[in-house]
Amino acid sequence: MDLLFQLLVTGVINGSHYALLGIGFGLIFATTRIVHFAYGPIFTFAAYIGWLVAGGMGLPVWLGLLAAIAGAVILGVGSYLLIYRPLEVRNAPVLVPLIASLGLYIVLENLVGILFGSGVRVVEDLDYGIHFVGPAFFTSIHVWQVASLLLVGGALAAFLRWTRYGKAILAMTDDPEMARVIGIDTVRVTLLVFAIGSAVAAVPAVLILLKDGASTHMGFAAVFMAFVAVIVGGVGSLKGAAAGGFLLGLVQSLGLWQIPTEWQNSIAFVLLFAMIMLRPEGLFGVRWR
Amino acid sequence: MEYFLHILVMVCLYAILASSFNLLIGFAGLFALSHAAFYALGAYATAIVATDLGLPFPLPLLVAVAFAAAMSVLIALPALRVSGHYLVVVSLAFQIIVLEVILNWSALTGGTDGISGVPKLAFFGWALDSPGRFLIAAAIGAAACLWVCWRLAHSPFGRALRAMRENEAAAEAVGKNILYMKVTVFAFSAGLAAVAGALFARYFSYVGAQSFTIDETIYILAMVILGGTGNLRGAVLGAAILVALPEALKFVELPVDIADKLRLVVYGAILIVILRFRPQGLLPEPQGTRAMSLSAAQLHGTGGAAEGDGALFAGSGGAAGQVVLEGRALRKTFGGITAISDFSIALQRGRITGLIGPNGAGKTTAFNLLTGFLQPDSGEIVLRGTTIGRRRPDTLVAAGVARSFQDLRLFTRMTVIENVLVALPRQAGDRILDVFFRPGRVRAEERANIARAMAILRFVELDGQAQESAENLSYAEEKLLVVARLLATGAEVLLFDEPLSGLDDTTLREIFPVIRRLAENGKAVCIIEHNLDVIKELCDTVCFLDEGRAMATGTPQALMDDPDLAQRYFK
Amino acid sequence: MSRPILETRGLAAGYGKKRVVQGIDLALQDGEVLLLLGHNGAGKTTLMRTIFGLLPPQGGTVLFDGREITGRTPAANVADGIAFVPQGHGIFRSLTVRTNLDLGGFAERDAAELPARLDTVFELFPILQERAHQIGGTLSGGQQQMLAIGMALMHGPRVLILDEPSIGLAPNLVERVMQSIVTINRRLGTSILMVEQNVKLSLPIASRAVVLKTGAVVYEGDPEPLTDHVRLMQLF
Repeated sequence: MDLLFQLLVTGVINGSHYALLGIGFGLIFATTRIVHFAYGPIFTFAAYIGWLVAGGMGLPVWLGLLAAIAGAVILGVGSYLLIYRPLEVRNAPVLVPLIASLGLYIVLENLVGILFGSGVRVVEDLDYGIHFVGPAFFTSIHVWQVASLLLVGGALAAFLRWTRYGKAILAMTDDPEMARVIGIDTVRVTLLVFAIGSAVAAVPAVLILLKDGASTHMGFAAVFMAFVAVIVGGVGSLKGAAAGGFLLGLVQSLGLWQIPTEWQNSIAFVLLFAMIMLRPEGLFGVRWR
Repeated sequence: MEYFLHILVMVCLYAILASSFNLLIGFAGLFALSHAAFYALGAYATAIVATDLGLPFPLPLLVAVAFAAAMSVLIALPALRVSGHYLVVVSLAFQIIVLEVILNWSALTGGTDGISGVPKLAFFGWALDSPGRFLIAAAIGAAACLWVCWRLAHSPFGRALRAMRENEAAAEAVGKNILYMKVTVFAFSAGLAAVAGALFARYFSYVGAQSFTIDETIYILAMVILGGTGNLRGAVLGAAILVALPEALKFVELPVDIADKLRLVVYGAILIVILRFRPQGLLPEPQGTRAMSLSAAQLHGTGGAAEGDGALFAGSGGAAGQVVLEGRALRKTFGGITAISDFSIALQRGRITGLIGPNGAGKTTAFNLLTGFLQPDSGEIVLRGTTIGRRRPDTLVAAGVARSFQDLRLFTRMTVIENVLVALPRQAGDRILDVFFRPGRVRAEERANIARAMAILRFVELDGQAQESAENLSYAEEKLLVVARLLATGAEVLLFDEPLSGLDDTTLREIFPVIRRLAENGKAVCIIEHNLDVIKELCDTVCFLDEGRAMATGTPQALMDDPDLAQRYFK
Repeated sequence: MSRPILETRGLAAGYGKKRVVQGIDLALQDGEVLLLLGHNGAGKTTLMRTIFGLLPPQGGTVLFDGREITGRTPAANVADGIAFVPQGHGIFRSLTVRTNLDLGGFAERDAAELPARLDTVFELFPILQERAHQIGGTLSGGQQQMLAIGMALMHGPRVLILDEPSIGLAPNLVERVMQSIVTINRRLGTSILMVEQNVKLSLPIASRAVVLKTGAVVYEGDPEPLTDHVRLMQLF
């Protein structure tokens, strides 16, 4: 029973991590329909930038986070302007941006390795508390992982709901052609979405840096889990991406009760497969017509 | 020298991988990211069967190919039900699972250590234990695999694959079994990747998980994109360039780790640059006769005999006016909204029936019901006196009911004659076993089919453009090609969804006779049309559809003079 | 004599090599309701989309208020006072009525104008106020059409282009929609260019009518003669 409780706590923590990743990736995917694989290495880049500032230069962690966000935004907006936009202008078939994003993925991932070396980078001398709730324990960083989901997710939801450009993003997700009809500049909205999505990814990136350290290949799992969270949760729904990520974290963690830890990805796969077969529109997706 | 031979061996391996991947993404348009997984399955199956079980030569290879192909069918059946982005994510997930199983099922796979000591191949005591010697096996393996790819891609089956890639529903509407084609090409692609895996295991005497990651899939993808999707020579060229290119990097003094990463950066950059500036790749997809296993001489050799329409319409005999296809009391609702309620229609041999009605009356839904693209909630469809149950569109085409689409859905990146050829019914070349085991029959049939296709093109007067890519046709010619393609299916009942919309008056008058001759030669024709001039000119009978029901049936003039119907038509 | 507020001269349009509309001359006079009739595939929608800038023209010019606006982006046209209600569902179906209306005013530079316009829309279509928090896609067909028109009015347009506002609606609702179009025209002084299939209910509200067939104008003038449906059928 104690074990189950601890697994539940871990599930919530990891679920929050996946949910944040899913929100950022899902925002880009739903609005632009681009499968942005480079989201993974941008996540990694953000973690290394955070390390450079907080670990390398010894500056405060919050400065590291700001630098990570700035770096991620530049890379995200840059990928749209330099890679996807020219393909969009040419009216390329949907698979072309996807393949280009795989190219970008492999370029960025290996650039991280070349620039920062392949060892794991950690921020030393971190001072964080350990908490106990009944039989389960967790650290302050774990608390931050859950809190950041609430903060970032809440802020994003408010932005989408209350601001002019937030609504424009919702409009474009719903129907890009109709968005043009009412006079929305869809290129500007796309740039905004790439900026926000990348900024969101920088938050879990820095938290993972603090928790486990940064490693060059962690981007793949990040973008894959984000993709799965979005499909499971339902494309086009912020709530869905968060719920999908959360479910993924919980199922993986609770699966550990009976299944050895190295099969975590397989558990995610089974969840994905079941979802696609039983409810292809996802948890919160809608099937119009 | 050894080093150079080693590179050649690697080129052979990657030529197999790139060509087989090209079959899947270039020819069939199925974008799966699991090629490295099938490569791994082949390598590990070979290593396990040859090392642990110690079975002699051809057996490990056969097991590897069969295993990879079987796994691909297992994954393909559910994954291909969904499409596009779902296939991407499911195949990616499969790639991850395969690696996870390899890494974790240590008892079988050696886990992170991999399997070493895979026996070298040896024939008559002559071991293939150096790159030079192994090159012989690799070259033979590559040649055999490339031959299989070539045969498949350039057969009628390969043509149908490209048609499916261009438009899935249209391929179904000309009688192709989409699921069979997808599963078959997936299994071939996986089986061939497994051959490369088997060669890998034999060459290095070692298999380890790090050789088969997602990066490897992207590497192979880069070869296909660089060489040219839909071009097999391109895949080989792409493989050769991307295997050789990083070797050049070796002459620059760099730490091994950095050089390795730089190599991958270069692959990624090549992928991006190619997509941006030369999306068709170094060698673009061949068009027309070069894409088929026939020569220009064969094509024009058939042009001599001037046949009448008779030969084209053989088998469409029978008394004019006889009812061929009948819909009885059909009903279809979509989520509470009734699109078709109690709709009945009878299509007669040798007659043109017009289907008119205001917007949203349910005309296209009626077509979808009659052709198997939708199943009615109630009512029955009777073909030549027999009630037909639930049928897929492709089997209905074979039974003699075919339809066209309002938005044409031509196979635009194929030639005019290929558009017609792909629609010809009952081709032995569509069956994969016949392609490989009865090549003579397939070839003879193909010759006959080309003659037939040319006759059909002459019928619509597009024979001059037979070798033209369909995307270069004018709009009116596209409309004619739609007629030709539908005629090619050999179906007796032809349903045209707005075959003449968007044409100007002069062009209309040119196309009228073509449609009339279809009926004169015994087809039962049904057209949806909004231009009432067309209805008056062409139709023998008109069925006025409104509120999902046939409101009236009669001659065009009678219906148009009916003030009640005029009221309805304009609401 | 009033002058045209929206005019096309020799406008040709289509998709790729498919030329759907050939050299159309059309003039919408300031303050009138111009009805565009024609069978499906006659090129009406293509013409509207090209005028509004959703499709690049293949030839000819478009003038708004005497200035050439050929090939301008929809965003620029909206900002300049042209609104378009596309065929079918001209709304965002996953968003609430209120959010849809807010988005309708997206291009308005002067935010102070919006509350008054919202009041006007609610006055025209009280049901939208009642349903302000309902998701657009769950509205009935008629309410969705009202919402679509309401969104277009949030721009405060001088010209309203409507592509088959009656499509898929029951006759009593069509009547209701036509009535509101009259009101918009009379009260707000908005000039209206409307494509319709429903001749019976749209002819009475039209100032003038144009019949389009295979991409060319075959009738232009008084709507009255067209009320003879059998005669109109001969034109189609």
